[in-house]
Amino acid sequence: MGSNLIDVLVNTIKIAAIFVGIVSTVPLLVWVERRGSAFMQNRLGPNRVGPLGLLQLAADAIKFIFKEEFIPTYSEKVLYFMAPGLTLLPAALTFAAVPLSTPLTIFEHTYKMQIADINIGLIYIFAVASLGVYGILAAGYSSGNKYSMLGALRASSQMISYEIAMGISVVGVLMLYQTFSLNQMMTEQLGHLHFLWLGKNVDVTWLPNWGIFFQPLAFILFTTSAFAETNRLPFDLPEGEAELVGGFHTEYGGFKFNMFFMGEYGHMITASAIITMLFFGGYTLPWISPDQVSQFWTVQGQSLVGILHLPLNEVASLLTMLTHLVSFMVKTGFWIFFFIWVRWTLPRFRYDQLMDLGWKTLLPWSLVNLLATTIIMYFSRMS
Amino acid sequence: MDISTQDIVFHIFAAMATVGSLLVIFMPNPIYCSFFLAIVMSALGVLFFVLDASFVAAGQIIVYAGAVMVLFVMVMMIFDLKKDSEDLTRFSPLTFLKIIFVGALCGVLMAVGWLASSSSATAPVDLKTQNTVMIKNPSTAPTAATTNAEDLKQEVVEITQNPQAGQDIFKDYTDTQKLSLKLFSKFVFAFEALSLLLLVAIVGSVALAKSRGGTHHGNRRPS
Repeated sequence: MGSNLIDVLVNTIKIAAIFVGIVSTVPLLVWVERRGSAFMQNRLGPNRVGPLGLLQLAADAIKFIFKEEFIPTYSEKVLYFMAPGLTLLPAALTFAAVPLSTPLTIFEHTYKMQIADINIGLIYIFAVASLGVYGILAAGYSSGNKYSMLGALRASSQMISYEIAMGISVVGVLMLYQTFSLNQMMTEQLGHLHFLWLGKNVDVTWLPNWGIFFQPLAFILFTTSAFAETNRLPFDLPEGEAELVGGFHTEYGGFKFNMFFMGEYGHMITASAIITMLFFGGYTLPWISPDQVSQFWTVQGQSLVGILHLPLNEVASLLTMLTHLVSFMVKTGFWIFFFIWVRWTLPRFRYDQLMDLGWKTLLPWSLVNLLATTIIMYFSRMS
Repeated sequence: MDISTQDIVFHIFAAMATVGSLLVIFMPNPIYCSFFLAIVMSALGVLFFVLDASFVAAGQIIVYAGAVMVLFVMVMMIFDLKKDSEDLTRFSPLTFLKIIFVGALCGVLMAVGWLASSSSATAPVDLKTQNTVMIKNPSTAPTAATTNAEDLKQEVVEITQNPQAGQDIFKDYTDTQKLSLKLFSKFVFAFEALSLLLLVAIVGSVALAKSRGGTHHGNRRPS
């Protein structure tokens, strides 16, 4: 909340804007997924409704809302109604800590493009995302259906297993940046690649100072675990339709199913945003710091300001914010597309393979990564 | 009356935790009980957050609500609990005994709490003298938050060598740094002992899972 009414109002607007933003990105992603999958499989995909099939989104949304609502006879009514909300809520809440762009300064007031600047941003995201499994468990239990139950059990065991590998793989990154704050992580990734090796400065000017060049193994481990955490193919066993009809959401239809869908895509967006922030510099541009962008727009904005009589600093601040917002969206968008790309490329794992990969491959490798990072950091500090 | 945002958040989540923990006991269906326990854990996490202990808050939610309670719910889902929940709600002479014993236990706990609070009210504990850490010379306190590992190491050395130092030294650190400084200097033995205990528990559970007999005897999957 805030100290006065204006702060409360601004924060409410931010919360509403980001929630609506996530929810309304989902139909667009569905369209990208369907057209993209069709392209990858040499098909056409939905192309009849509107230009490029874009109105298919609206048609789908209307269909979801107007579908008949049914409740299975042997269901636990309260949990059955709560489950879709319990899935969507954590997915939306995680985005509260994600910094979308540089702060906007308008008439001496600074507005952060982030709902809450928590100094443990990354841990907050992990904490809230770990609650997402309750929605799936509630759905599986309350449906009164064996397929739902099996899907829910699979989902929860999978999410717990991969959460451990995910958490440990991130520790190496945290040690590198020495902070939990997502904003500080971005400032650590500014400029070109430079680091301290045996007390000497090493500069690689043709690469940006991104986390992926310091922690490539952590990136692979984190991304793999993120696929499992979001229940996406090749790890979508909780809803493996060949075995479990629809998994935990077998008994859900209409808008309640749509909420599960939005939850899954919400998790996907958040996972992409975390990958962007940890390994690809977040909203910052490669090589160029936000200050340089701000200076550029201050110089460029002068001609614009002269014609329209606008305050220079505010215009420059707005343009800087928009530049970084676009940068963030492009980077995150690429990783969302990567999720879709992998889904239509790799086949589904078998359940025992999934568990083996989580416990016997990802977990040991993330521990090795942690150990190697510790040793290298110790020696790089030596002079 | 002056009500801050923190007060509002505290009262909402304290009420949530209280009502949730009562429902954990009174709900007949164990699944609902464990869901409410998860709500209690999350509410406690938020309360930690209100107290500016954000790392502890997140840890509370990750470990208890996100992992431990999920396992509880999972195990509950596998069992057929219809009979058990009927047993719980059916009236019998034994139920009376149970209620009486639980009431007596609650009474003892409350009495202890009441005695402890009344005794502490008469003889207030001087927190300043209880602190093991206190700075003799305030000018040595860092003026800005330092994330440099060398500086932190220096701090740890100062704090551990200085038996009397105050909380002022932690003033400019984030709560995570404060926590880790305490954890790896003053409470390092307890920390290591706990990790050893957890290791023993892990080894024990693996040994139990590997042992023949019990429900899995005879139908082990060939590996």
